[in-house]
Amino acid sequence: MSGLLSGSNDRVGLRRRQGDARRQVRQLGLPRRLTLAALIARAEQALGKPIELQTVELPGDLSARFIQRKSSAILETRPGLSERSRVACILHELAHVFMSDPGCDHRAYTDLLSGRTAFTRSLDNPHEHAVELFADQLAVRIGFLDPDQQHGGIFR
Amino acid sequence: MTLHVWGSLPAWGILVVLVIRLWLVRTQSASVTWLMVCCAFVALGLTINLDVLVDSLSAITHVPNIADVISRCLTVCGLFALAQSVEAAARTTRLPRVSRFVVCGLVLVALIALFALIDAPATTDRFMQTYGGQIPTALYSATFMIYIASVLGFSAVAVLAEFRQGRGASRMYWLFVVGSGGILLLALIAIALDTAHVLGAMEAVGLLSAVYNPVFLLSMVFLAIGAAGGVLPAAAREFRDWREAQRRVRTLEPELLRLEGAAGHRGIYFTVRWSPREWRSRLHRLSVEIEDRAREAGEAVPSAAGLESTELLTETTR
Repeated sequence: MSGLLSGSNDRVGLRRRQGDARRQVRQLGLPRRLTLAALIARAEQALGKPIELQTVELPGDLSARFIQRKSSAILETRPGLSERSRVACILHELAHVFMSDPGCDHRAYTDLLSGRTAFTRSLDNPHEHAVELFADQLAVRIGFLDPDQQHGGIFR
Repeated sequence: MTLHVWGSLPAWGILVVLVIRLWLVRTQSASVTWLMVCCAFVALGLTINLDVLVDSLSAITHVPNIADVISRCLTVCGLFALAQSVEAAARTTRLPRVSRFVVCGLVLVALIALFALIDAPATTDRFMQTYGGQIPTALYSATFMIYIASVLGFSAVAVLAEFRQGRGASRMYWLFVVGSGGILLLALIAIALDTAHVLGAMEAVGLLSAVYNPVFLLSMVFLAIGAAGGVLPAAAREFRDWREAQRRVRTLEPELLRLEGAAGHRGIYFTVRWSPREWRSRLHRLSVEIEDRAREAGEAVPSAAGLESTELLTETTR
């Protein structure tokens, strides 16, 4: 019974977060369509420092992480990811930036990186679920889900 | 049936096609939604000129010829929607633009005010031929035609810009440009016709009337085919994608369930309430979570997950 209730609470919470993610992405004032490069430029603007994309081996099952240094940031994705998954990882880390997440999320990378902050893409807490939903909304904005819409014409 | 009712048929045709498409696929861009609104208003606006409707509306409202002003107001609203549709398709612009709302509102007010000034005591389905000799009628007709021609001119320029910038717009859009050109010509003919009517040059009126009808009908056909030709190939492609997505979701959901069990970790896919219109987001999340869970479980990613690096996917990355 308690399992059922917990499942129901999860669903209600997630529905609310779905709506929140849509609203938050709308509030960013992004163009209806922009490229991933333009989105990264917007994130750099929001962060106030350049973001460098790197493909590096990451510990454990980690697929991506975002490390902030004093004057730059590094967005790392693990090698061997499919293009879809790699972009999803990048969008997840950018979502953290746009959501103005302070410091680390749930893993103690602050200790590991001695004072730098890091976000990691994992889905084991509700906030990470919200970030993932936000990232899915960003995927819509960059035309990642429906690239055919990029064709020309005045009705599209 | 009057000329305008015949002219409504292409608009009804494209509206039916767009409604069927929406019913099947459930998703469409703001641009196509506005195009649907445009077709609905224009088709209704032209159909209202049906004899029986003209008489009924006059009888119900006790305002002779009210169908004419309702028809024109609906058409103006339809053309406003067309301008919104073109704007919605532009990549850089934002949709609400106060000036466009204000201009449309002013045109509607002007039409109603000028209609009130026309001395037209008896209901007729040949309104312009019967009462076109009055100055308010000429101004009424000119206001309407100038607005219509301006919006279509603006839309045609947007199409030409798409061609010039080589964005791969369908060649069918040329028919839309031809139709818009036809409506520009029609506006000139209508203004000349109304002027001749006011001046009493009935020979010119007869000559211009003979040209007006075919230009109107051909323009409507070209506009409808041009608009449909631009929209329908994309709609067919989207329908194909939607059907393929349905198939893949059915195949991949059990696979994700199995992988979640193997990895001992759940994502959000099965918790999210997917609306029918979110079929693309749903497939994306399903594919991403399958890859995540497969990696965590130390298994290979199922090929059906469609995680290949396609040209279209890489286009969006840098």
